[in-house]
Order: sequence, then C-alpha cells, then structure tokens
Amino acid sequence: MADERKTENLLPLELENIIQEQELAVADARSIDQIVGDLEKGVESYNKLKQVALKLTGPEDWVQLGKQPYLLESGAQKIAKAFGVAIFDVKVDIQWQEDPKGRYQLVMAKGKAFSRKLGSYVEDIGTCSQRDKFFAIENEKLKPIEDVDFANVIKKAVTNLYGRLIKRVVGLMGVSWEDLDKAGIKPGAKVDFKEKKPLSPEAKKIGELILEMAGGDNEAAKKMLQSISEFQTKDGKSHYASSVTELSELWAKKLLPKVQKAYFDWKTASEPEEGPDDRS
Amino acid sequence: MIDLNAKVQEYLKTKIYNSPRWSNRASDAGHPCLRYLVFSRTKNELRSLPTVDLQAIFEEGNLHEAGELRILQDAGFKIIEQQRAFEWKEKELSGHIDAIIVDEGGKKYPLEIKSCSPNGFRTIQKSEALDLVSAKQYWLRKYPAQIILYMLMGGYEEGILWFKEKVLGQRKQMNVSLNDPAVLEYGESILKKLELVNQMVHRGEEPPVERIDECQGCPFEKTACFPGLDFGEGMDIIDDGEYLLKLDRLDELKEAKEEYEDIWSEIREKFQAKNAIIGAKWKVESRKQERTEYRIPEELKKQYARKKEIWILSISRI
Repeated sequence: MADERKTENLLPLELENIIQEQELAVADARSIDQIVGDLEKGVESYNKLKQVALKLTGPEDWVQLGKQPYLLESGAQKIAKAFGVAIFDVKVDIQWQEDPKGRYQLVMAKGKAFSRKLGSYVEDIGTCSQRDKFFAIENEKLKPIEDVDFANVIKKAVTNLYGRLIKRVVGLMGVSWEDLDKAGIKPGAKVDFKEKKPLSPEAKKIGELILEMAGGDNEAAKKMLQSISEFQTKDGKSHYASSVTELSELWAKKLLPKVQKAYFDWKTASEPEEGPDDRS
Repeated sequence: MIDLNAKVQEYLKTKIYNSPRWSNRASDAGHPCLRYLVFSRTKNELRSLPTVDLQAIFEEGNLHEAGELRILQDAGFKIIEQQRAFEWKEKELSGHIDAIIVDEGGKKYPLEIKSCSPNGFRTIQKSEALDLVSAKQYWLRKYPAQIILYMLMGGYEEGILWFKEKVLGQRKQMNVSLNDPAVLEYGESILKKLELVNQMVHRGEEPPVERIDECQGCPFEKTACFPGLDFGEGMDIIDDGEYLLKLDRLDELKEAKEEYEDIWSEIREKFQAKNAIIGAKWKVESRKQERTEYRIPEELKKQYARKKEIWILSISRI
C-alpha cells in the first residue's frame, strides 16, 4: 500500500520528461528564470491536458474508493482512445503465498503502455489473489481456494493492470474530487464503498443470539434480524438491518436488550414445561 | 418487505458455471479465432465466467426462445424434437438445436431461435444469412455456422434462423439452404477449421495470439491470451477559436434544422398538387415534374454491389 501511494505521488510522466529535459538543458545559456518559466508552462499544459482527459469521462465512470475518486475501466478506455494508448507485452505470473489462513495464489500481471499522443511510456503491475474479497468471501466467510474461480482472479489482475497503465501513461493518478468538479463531473456520482469496521461486541452478540434462535440457518437468521431490527422513522419509512455488519455501534447497543429479551422468551418457550411427574 | 431483486440475483448466480468441453460446439464453430476454439476444449477452466448482468441477458434469450416456440405452435406449426442433441463423432462436434419445425407437407426444418436488441435487429433486417458472417456485432457472426452445422449433422437441406426483436416483438425469418453454393462453401470452410482445431487439440498445440475484433470481451482475453489493447491513433487536441465557434453555432442550428425539416414535410404534404397564397404573404406552388426511376431487380443489383470505405463524422459535446 505504501509503495502504491509512493507511485501515485510521482510526477506525471510528461512532467517528469519536461523536468529531465530541463535538467539536461541547464548547461545551455538559459537563466534560472527562463527555466522556471518553461516549467510553469509545462505544468499549465499538463493541467489543461488533465482537464481534457477528465472531461472525456462521465459520472458513471467514477466511484469513491476510500476517500478518493477511482476511475473505472469504462472511463479509462474513453481516455485511452483519445490519447492513442496501446497496451502490450502483457504477461502473467502466478505465485503461491501463505497467510495464517493457509496457502493461496497471487496473480501478478505485468505490462507496458505508451501513448501515441503524449509520447509517454510506462510499465506497471496489476495484482489480484484468491483472497480477493469479491471472489473469496461468501456469507462473511473465507471460501476454500478451490472454490474461488481462478479465471476471475487472473482477469481482475489484468483489468487492474490495464487501469493502472492507462491512468499512468496519461498522467491521471491521484485525481481529486476537486479535479472532477472542475471538469464538470458532479460528486453526486460518488458511490460509497463501506469500509469494513470490526463488529462491536453488541453486534457480535446479536449475531450469535439470532443465529442460535434461527437454528444455525443463515437465511432464517437474516429474516429474523430484519424483523427484530425494523423501525419506522417520522416520515413513515421503514428501516431494518439484514446483516449485523449494517448495525452501527449505537444501533447495536439499543437493539441488544430487545434481542436478549426475544432470546430469553424463545429459550423459556423451548424448555419443557414442568408438570406432574408421570414416571411413577 | 420481500426483496425480489436480491432473490433473482442470487438465482442468476447459481446459473453461472463453467463445465469441461470434450467436443467442438456448433454454437461456437463460427468463431473466427482458432485459439478460442482450441482453448474452449483444452483450457476451458480459464474461460472467465459471465457477470450476473450477462447471465441475465442469456436467461432473457431462453425466455424468448420458449415464448417463440409457443407462439409458433399457437400459429399452427408443428414443433418437434425441442433441444434435440446432435453429435458428429468424426468432427468431434456436438450441439443442441432449439427445435425442428414441420410444414404442412410434413417437411422438417431445423429451427434456431435468436432474440436480439433493436440495434442488432436493424442489422438482421437488411441481411441474409451469410451476410451475418461479417456483421458488425460479433455475436451475430456465429449464427450461420451454427444452423449450417445442424443441417449437416441432421441431414437437412434447408434450415431456418428465426429472429425476434426483444422490444417491439418484430420477427424475421432467414432461410438457409445447402443448395446455395455459397452456403455449402462456407459450411465446408467451417468443417476444415474444426478439423484443424481437432488436430491441434490432439497434438497439444496452441495457436499463436492474434489480436482481432472478437478479442475485446472474449472470455480468454484476460485469462489466457493477453493480446494487449490498442486504442488507435488518438485524437488531436486543438485549440482553434474559429472551429470552436463554428461547432458551437452548428449545435445551436441543430434544433432549428430539425424543426425546419418537420415543417417542410408537413407543408409539402398539405400542398401537394395545390397552388395557394397564404396570409397575403406567401405563395406556394406545386409543379408536376417527370423523373426517371430505375427499378433494378435485386439479383441484378447485387452483381454491381461493391464495398467502399467512407468516413462517417460524428460530433458530440464532452
């Protein structure tokens, strides 16, 4: 992750080229003022180019990942067409990795790209593994690796590579919401990927009690949670949680006594009633 | 409240799977890529699975197929052998035909039903079966081979491709006959290609990667072939004030042009064969003129048809 951030903070390639050219040219007779002036012009034309690139995309091409906008493949392809991008020499390397949960495979896709319009060239890597949350997690549990479709894992690594190559070759890493605003792309297009927070002890307890009441049946537990958590707001709209992960800390705290009561009632009802001892 | 969509999505997910293939499939035989055909048999586990959205389109196709079979039956046709399995051992080829349809005289025709979008249907409407081999929409390109192979496997001289447009319910019948030399020649080329596929499969050979139109979106593109991507020459970024103004003006006039054409058509219709003064301001005259019309028979017209390249300009605001 740290490496990724480091890469994203690098100067856009075109700018790097300009700076390198300027550095080589220090030996000539230009004054420092002139060099700074040229650099400013370079930055200005880069910013203009960036605006054009962003304008080629639409709100549907962006989602919010973490706190930053993230360009989807659809948007990357629109930009690539304008800048005459070619991706080539794509190779895939598969490595075995190990973590406390066992062995799994990591796919590293490597490739190169150049832009005919910008004259820029980059090499990059895209990765995906059998631990990827989209393929490996089912009902909040890690699937055995043999159940994770490996073709999808390779495809995602290559798709990630293509996205990175296009963005880097046209100098579009690290786009901000402000950049999108300037390009007329409204932040209304943001899609929040909920960051996974650890469950609060209350939410965890609710999950355990409900699952027990549902006899270990996940689907029945989901319905039970929906029913027990349902409440209406002033406008008459109904709200409920389908998974304990949807419960905020406060909501879980409020809900726990209700679930505990339901659990107590269920437990009492399911215990055999005391009656006359008929064994005699 | 019950969540219908969530349940349907879950159901669609269960329909997505990949299974090993021991033979060439008639529905795929028209695919132009040898590597695709070989990998479908030797590395099918690397075929990327369809998304739920794509699976929903496949399911839609199945629903339309069932509906069309019912409507054909209701219209009085006899439908037999639905989903009949075909096998051609020597060619290592198999397939399932949608149905066999029987005419009043008892003649049987293999019937392949395809549902399509309005856009695809526009191509279909102006095409004959073999034209589809070079259709812009690559999924249309495989249909002729599919029906021809069913005809060859089942010993039928004629077959039918039956198309249904999914929005307005328009339909088109395309007849395919082995008596047409072009059809026969195309069928033979497909069989030769399959023989080559079989040889490569048995020898464990992999055809080289060659980037073609079909690569984009191919299930092996990003899992087994990695042909890269080329987005072409790119666009010139021009700061030309004159053309900026002209394009702005063009955009302003667009609405007026459309309105002009609408009103002109209305007036032409209203005043055809009439002369009139309107509001003491406008004079409208209708003159009869003779024009020569050439009605050329389709067959003759085809002889002179030549493909030529043209440039189509489209302008859109970014």
